[in-house]
Amino acid sequence: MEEKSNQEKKQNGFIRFLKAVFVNNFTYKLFAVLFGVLLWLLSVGLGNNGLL
Amino acid sequence: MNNFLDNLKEAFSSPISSVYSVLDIIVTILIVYGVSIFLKKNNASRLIKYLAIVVILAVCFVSEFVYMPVTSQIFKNIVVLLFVSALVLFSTEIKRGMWKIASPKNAENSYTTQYNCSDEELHAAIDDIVRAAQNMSKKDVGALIIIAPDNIPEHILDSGTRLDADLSCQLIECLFNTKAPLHDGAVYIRGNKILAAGCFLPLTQQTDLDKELGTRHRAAIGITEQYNHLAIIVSEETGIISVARNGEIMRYFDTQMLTDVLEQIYGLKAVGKPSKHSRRKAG
Repeated sequence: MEEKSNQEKKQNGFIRFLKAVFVNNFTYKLFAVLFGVLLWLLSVGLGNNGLL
Repeated sequence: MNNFLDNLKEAFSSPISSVYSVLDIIVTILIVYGVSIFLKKNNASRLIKYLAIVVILAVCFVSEFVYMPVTSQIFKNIVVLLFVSALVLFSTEIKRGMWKIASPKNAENSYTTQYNCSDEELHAAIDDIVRAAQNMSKKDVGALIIIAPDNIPEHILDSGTRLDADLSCQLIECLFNTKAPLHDGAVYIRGNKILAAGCFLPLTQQTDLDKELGTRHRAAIGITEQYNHLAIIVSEETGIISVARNGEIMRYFDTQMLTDVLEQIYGLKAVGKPSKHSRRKAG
């Protein structure tokens, strides 16, 4: 019984981690990744100096 | 276009520059995420798209690629203005954030949506709140109860008296007893705890509200315009129970409707939005 509950705790920890990454505020995380990459590409590609 | 691709290739031309570029991208993503979450927590998520557009335009016009010196100068200054505007608009939130860094225990209580109690205790808390509202409604005792799931404004709690007491029907009724010193103002509840009583709330500036609605109702509408809170109002004159959410007020709530809306805000039940009653004259 204790082994099962320990396994459940480990699974819950992993599931909690997955939820924290892919469920909580997922839209904002996706926006941050896409916008961050776009911003970097434009800044570096256009040879931006001293704005950001 | 060739210059664009050349610049990008140069960023990944050597292992060291590749590492710096990847780190640069990761830090940019974290900053964008932090700003988005900050705006979301302060009910300003609509600003995100306008900020994104301004920043993209600024990056394009300020670059060497586009020769538009006046527009470039304007956008350079706009970014500085945006930063200063954010400091002015969100000065209270930034100050609160700094206090939270110094007081991590308070920060955990203010920002986590995890209640430190079981679902059964939350249901018991909901029953107590509903019973208290019903009892006060029968006796025409005025009450203003704020249910705050997250993003608790510390400065509003500080305007009242901190209690951090276990919630009970009797305690809520005691606090709103007209002879009690804390009856004036709002009671703040989170989970199954009464955080504070006698708190003063910002009034709504709407001018098209029913003239029947007094200062208590205006305070409820005002706080729900700014924060994701639920406000329960018991009218002192008529005993009518009203609920305010997102700057809108709904009147004539009965026991079941009040229970449903509380279960919804506590995340215990997904229900549809209660129907908005028309504003009828009392009596």
